[in-house]
Amino acid sequence: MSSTASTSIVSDRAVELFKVAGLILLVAAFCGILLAATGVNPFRAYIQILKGAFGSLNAVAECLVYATPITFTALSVILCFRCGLWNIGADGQLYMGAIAAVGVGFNTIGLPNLVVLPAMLLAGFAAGAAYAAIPALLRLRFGASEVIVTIMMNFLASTFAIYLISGPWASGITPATPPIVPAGFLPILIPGTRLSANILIAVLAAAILTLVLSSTVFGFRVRTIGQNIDAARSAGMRVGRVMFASFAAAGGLAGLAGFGEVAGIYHNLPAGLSPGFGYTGIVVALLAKLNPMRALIVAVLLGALNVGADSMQRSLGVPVSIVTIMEGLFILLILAARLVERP
Amino acid sequence: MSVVAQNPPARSLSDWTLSARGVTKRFGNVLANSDVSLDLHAGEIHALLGENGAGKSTIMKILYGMIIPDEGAIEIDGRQLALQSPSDAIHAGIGMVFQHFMLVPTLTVLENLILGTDFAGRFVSRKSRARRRLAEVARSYRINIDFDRKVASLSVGEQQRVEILKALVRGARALILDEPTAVLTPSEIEDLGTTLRELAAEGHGIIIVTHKLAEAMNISDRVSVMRQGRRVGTWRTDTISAEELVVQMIGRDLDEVRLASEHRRSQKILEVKNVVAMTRRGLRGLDGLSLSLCAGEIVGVAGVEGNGQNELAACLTGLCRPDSGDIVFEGASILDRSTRDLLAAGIAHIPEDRHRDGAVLDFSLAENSILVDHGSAAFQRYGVIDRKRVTAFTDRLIKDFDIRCEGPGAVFKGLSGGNQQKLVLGRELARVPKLLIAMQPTRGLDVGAIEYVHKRLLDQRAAGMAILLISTELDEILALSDRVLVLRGGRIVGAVERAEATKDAIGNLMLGKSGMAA
Repeated sequence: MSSTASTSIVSDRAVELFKVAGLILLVAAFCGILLAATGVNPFRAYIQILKGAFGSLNAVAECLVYATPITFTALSVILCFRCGLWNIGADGQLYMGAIAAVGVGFNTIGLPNLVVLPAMLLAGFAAGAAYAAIPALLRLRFGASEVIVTIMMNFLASTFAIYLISGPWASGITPATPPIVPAGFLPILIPGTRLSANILIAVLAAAILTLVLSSTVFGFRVRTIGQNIDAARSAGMRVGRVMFASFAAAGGLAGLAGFGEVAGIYHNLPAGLSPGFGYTGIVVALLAKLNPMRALIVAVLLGALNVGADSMQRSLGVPVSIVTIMEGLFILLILAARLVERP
Repeated sequence: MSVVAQNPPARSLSDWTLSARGVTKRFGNVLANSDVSLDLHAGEIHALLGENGAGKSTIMKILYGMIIPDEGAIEIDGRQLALQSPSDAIHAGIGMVFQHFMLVPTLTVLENLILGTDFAGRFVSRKSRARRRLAEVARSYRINIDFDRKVASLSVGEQQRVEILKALVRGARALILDEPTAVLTPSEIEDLGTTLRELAAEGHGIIIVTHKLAEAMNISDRVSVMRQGRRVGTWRTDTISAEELVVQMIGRDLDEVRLASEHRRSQKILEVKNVVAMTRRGLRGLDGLSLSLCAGEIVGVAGVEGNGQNELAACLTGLCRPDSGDIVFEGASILDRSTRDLLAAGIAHIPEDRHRDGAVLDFSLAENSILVDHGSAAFQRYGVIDRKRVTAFTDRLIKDFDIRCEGPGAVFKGLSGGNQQKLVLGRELARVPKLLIAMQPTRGLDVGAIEYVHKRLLDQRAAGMAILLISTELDEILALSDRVLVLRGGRIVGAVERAEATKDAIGNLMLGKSGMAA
C-alpha cells in the first residue's frame, strides 16, 4: 500500500508558492543582516533593488535583456540533465555560437538581406551543437567525464574568441570584431531600450523544449534514460544515440544565446562577451527544478535581482557582490529544503 | 524486569491489550483501510496475513503513528492514544521493525542501540554504563550479539536482531515486525521464531505482517486476514487450515495450477549453442551453455542464484555479447543484433530486478506501460506520443491484469510490489512475443498474484509462445515447466522431463551432488 501519498487539503501548487515565498523571505532576512552590518538600511536597499528592476520601462527591459542568455543556457543544462548528463560547457558553446553568428554576420558572402539573420541563427545553433558534440563523443566512446571536458572546453572557447578579436578578426580600435551588417540585427521590441526579439526566441525555445520533453518519443527516451538508464537499455533504447542527440541539441541552445547577444545587443563580438552565462544557467536550471518554463521565470527574477542590485550599488554604495551572496543562499536553502523534504 | 523504558506508561508488562478500533484511511481515491479493528494481547504472536495491497502496511503504520487515520482510534487497555508520530508510539510502548532496517551501517551495534536514547548522554557519551545495561537486556532475551561490531559487517539476520533489541531497549511491549522473514535464510527464520516465542513468554505482544502462509501458520497464536483494506477475520491458528486461510486472503477458491494438455513440441524457436560469456567482473558467466526451446513450450532453468542466470538473459536480449558460441532465434543468428532489434523481432523480457531494469519508478503507469513499445505506430505519430491511445492501452492492462491503482496516471512506485509486477508482465505479454524470457516472474508476490501470473504464462504457452522460465524457486519451475534444465557454473548440468522431475533430483543437480551430471 502506498504509505507516503500526500493527503494535504491544500493543492501542491499552493504549497509550492508558499515554499518559494518562505525561501525569499529567509534569503532577504539573511542578506538584511549582512546589509545592516555594512551600515546600510536593508529596507532602503531592497526598495532600491525593486525600483532599479521595475522602476522604469528601461529597467524592465534590462531585466529581460539579462534574462535572455541565461534562459538559453539554462534550457541547455536542463536538456542534458534530463538525459542524465552534466553540461557545464554552456559557456563555451555560447562563445562558439557567437563566433559563428558574427562570422556570418560581418562576412555575408553576398547573402541576400532576408537570409542573413536566419543564416546567423542557424550558424550559431550549429556551432554550439558541434562544440557540444565533442565532449559527447568523448564520453560515449571513451567514457571521459563530460563535466571535466566541458569545463576545460569553456576556456578553449573564450580564449579562441580573444584570439579572433585580437588577431584575424581584429577591427582596429576596440577589442571586438568588425560589426555585422544591419540586416543581421535582431529587431528591438521596445524602442529606446536594448530589448531585442531574442527574448521571444527564448520563450519559444522554452515552450518547444517543454513539449519535446513531455510529448514526443525523443523526450520520452531522454527522460527514461535520465531516470533509469538500465531500464532504458533493457527496453531497447539506443542510449548512446539519444545522449548524443541531447548533448548536441543542448549545445545548439547555448549557441543561440551567443547568437542573440551578437545579433540583438552588441552587433559584433566583444571581448568578454559572457560574464559566466553558462554557469548562471546551471543555477537557473536547478532553481527551476529542471522545468523549462520555470527556468524562464527564474531567469527573469535573476535578471531583476542583478539589474536592481546594480542600481542599489550606484545609489547606496553597496557592493554588488551581495547579489552573488543572495544567489548562493537561494541555492543552499533550496538544497537544504530538499534534504529535509526527503523522507 | 530489565526493561529500560524511560517512563513506562502504566500497567504491568504481562497484562495489556493494544487495539485498533474502526480505523479508516484513504489515500486519494484508494481506500487503504476500511473500518479495521484489531487486538493484540500481551504474550501472543499475532500474524497479519494478506495479499500485497490489502492494507496490512497501512494499519501497521497507523499503529506505529506514522500515518494518522481518517477515522477510528488506537487504544491500550481501552485508553485512547493520541499517536501523532512514531515517537508517540514508542513512548506508549509500541515498537516496529521494518522490512528495510533503520540502522546506521557505519556505527557499531552499541552506538546504534543508544542512538537517540538517554544512554547516549547529552554531552558526554556514557557508553560503558549503557553497555552493562544493554548487555543485561540482550541476555535476558537470549539475543546474542557482539556490541562492538560495525552494523555493516553483520548478516541480515543479525541486523534484524539489533533492530528488535533496539525496540526493546526503547521500552516496546508491543512489537510490530513487517515481513520479518523476507530477507532471512531458513535457519535464520528458525532463530527468529525462537526469539519471538521467548519475547511472547515474557509478556510482549508481537504482530507479524506477512504474506507467507507457512510462516504465519508456524509461528503465530492467532492469525488475522486482511483483504482489500478490510479485516475479514481473526482465528486461533490451531483452529484454521492453510487452505481456508488462502480462500480468505484471495476471496475465492484457489484454482489448482493445472497444466494444459501436453503440447507437442514442433517448431524450434530458440537454440543456444555452446555459448561462453564473461560477467562484468571478467569471470566466465556462461561456460559453454547450450539449450533449445520450441513454440508452445515452457522450459524451466533451475539453479542457485549467480550461476549464470543474469548472463543468459542478457545474451538472449542483446544486452551482452557472447565471447563464443552462437544463439539462433527463428533460424537466424542474433549475435550482432541490438536489443532494440530483438525486442522488435518478438522477444520479450521480464527482468529479474524490475525496479532496476523493468520500470522507471517515478514514471506514471501509462509511461511505464509503453517503455518498450513507445516507438511503435500504435502509440505515436510523427514522433509525438498519442496520449489517448497510451491511456486507453494502460486502462486495458489495468483491467485485464487487475492492477489495483488510482488509474493510468498513478506513479509506479506508489503501487505494491505485486501490482508493479503485474504491470510489467502485462506490458510484455501485450507485445505478443514469440519468445518470453521470464526471470523470477513471481519473486516477492503473494499467493493470489503468483497464481494469476502462472495462469497467464500457461495461457500464453497454450497460445504457442515459447517461454524460458529462469527461476530459483523450485516449486515454480516444477509447476510450470515441460522440461527442466539445471544451470550450474554457467552451463546446463542436467535436463529432466517434467514427468521425471523431482525436487530432490533437481536440488542435487543444482548443488552438484549427483552423479547425473550431463
